[in-house]
Amino acid sequence: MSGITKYICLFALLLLLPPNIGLAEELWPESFDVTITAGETGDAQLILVNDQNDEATYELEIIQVHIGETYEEISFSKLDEEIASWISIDDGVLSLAANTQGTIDLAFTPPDDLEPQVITFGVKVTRQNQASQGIGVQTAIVSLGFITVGPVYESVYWLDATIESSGGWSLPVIGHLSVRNEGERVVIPQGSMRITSLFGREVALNSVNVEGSRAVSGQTRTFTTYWGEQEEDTKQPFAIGLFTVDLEVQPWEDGEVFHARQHIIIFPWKGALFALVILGLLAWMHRFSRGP
Amino acid sequence: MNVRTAFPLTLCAFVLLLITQVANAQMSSTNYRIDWDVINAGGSDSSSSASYQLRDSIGGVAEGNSTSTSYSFDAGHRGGIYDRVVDFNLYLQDRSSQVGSSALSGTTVTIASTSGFSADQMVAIVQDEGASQSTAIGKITSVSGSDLIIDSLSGDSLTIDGSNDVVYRLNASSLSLGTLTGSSVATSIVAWEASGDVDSGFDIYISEDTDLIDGSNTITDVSDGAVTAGSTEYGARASDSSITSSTFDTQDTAITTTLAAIATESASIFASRNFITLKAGMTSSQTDGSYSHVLTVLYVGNY
Repeated sequence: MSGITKYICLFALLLLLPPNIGLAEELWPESFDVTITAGETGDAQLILVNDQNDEATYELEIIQVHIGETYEEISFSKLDEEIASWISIDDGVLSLAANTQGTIDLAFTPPDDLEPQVITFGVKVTRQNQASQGIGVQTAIVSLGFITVGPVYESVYWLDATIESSGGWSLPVIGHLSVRNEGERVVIPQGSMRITSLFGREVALNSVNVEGSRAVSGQTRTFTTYWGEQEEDTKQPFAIGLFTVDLEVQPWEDGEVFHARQHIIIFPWKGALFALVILGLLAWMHRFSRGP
Repeated sequence: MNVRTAFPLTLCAFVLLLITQVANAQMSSTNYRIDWDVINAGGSDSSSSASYQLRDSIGGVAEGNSTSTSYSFDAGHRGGIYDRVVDFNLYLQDRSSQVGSSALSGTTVTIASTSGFSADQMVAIVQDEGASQSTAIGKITSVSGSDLIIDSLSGDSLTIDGSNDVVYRLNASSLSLGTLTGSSVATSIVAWEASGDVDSGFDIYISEDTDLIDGSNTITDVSDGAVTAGSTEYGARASDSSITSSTFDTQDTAITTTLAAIATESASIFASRNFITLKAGMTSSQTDGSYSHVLTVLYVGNY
């Protein structure tokens, strides 16, 4: 069966699956960044999908989010009144027909005299489910917003950049990059892990921090990049020899580039052993065929 | 080709391999993988200016998302592009669907009657229903005779022997604790299935709008770590046991108006299932009434 036939068959099979049962929605993006200058205006838009086969009404609310040094250190509160005066949401309620999507529009109008700062807030989308009796249960999703007003203090410290191959010889090659945000500006490391062969040919170029995860002020984060399959028992691409791995990242757009380089040897010993056995066999046959 | 020519050629090939070779396989067979592919009419993969970024396509063929319990399928040009997307499904216990269960073998549960049960319904299997009950949840893949075949079980390890063991469908629109008595603890299950294409994972929180009330009468929050029969108290226990800062996984804990973590995932995951068990007890002197409140179960991705 050809690849495209498999593709079509899989899709046809999936069409036969019944939809999920329950209360369901999707919100995109899960988190977002806004950079704005005091006195100017800005906006952002979220997309909300009602996956359910019934109409749904969503309550929209902007809440304050307090973030600590770890993911667990997060708490929520009512939005500060001063901030609420310049962050607005277009409507407090959004109704969506079954299996449709809508947009949530946000507007930002920071006053002229607002001090440069980073504010973390959440757009809380609550699917209303008021029970006539008993216990009503609502689902809610929070999309986190990181808004940077004006030029804020920037300071980033690259703690560690380690590049290693699995077991010392095999794929995947793993690049670990640890960074501590010692300033105010949100750090979103972006860059690449480039693998080149002994002769300078680029054999792989993988993005660092594809999903754009953040290190906010005071946080330390480690970002991992793979060359090869990261899951166990997954067939790795074939590679053998000496390679150069370059890890280049910027803490933010136009930020100073951090560069780490390491040479690694990839030697898939199982395949090499097999090849040596074949070679040995051929050598023996070669010698045998030449006669005494 | 004879052996005399094969040997030098093989030797050369081996040396070349040692120098440096790489073969990548974005599309392959055996364990087939198509990262993404497209049959399209137009559009741009990436357009941007200083203030926006647009990634679009026109005239995609057979686009959309489909899922089953073990995989997710994003068809269409944008399917292969990473975006942080949340998918959150909530499942509430339908008290009226209670049916006795006599055995559980692997993921096959035997129940007294399969009437009303069908494939793709979420169910909760409850062992020794009550204050100390054990529970596992899963989705029905098929119904065979008096058996429900479940895709996988999430939650407690169960021993079902027919003694106070029951199965519920999780497809109600609101929860009921039934009629409370002074001699037992009433329970009800709130389950969810969450998918987060986020390497750093996500957290699930819970809060309430008010205490469980009927006018001025309240079923007070549990404060001693256990909801017990004969005491008026209300709380919940979570199936997730990986949150160090939470007591929901170790004891019956009060739900308050402040969001509290009840489940966490530290990596990208598809269809993560968990649940909380609400528990309520009452004294015989508690004022009769219809007690209610609203719970909010909230998803937050780890930015």
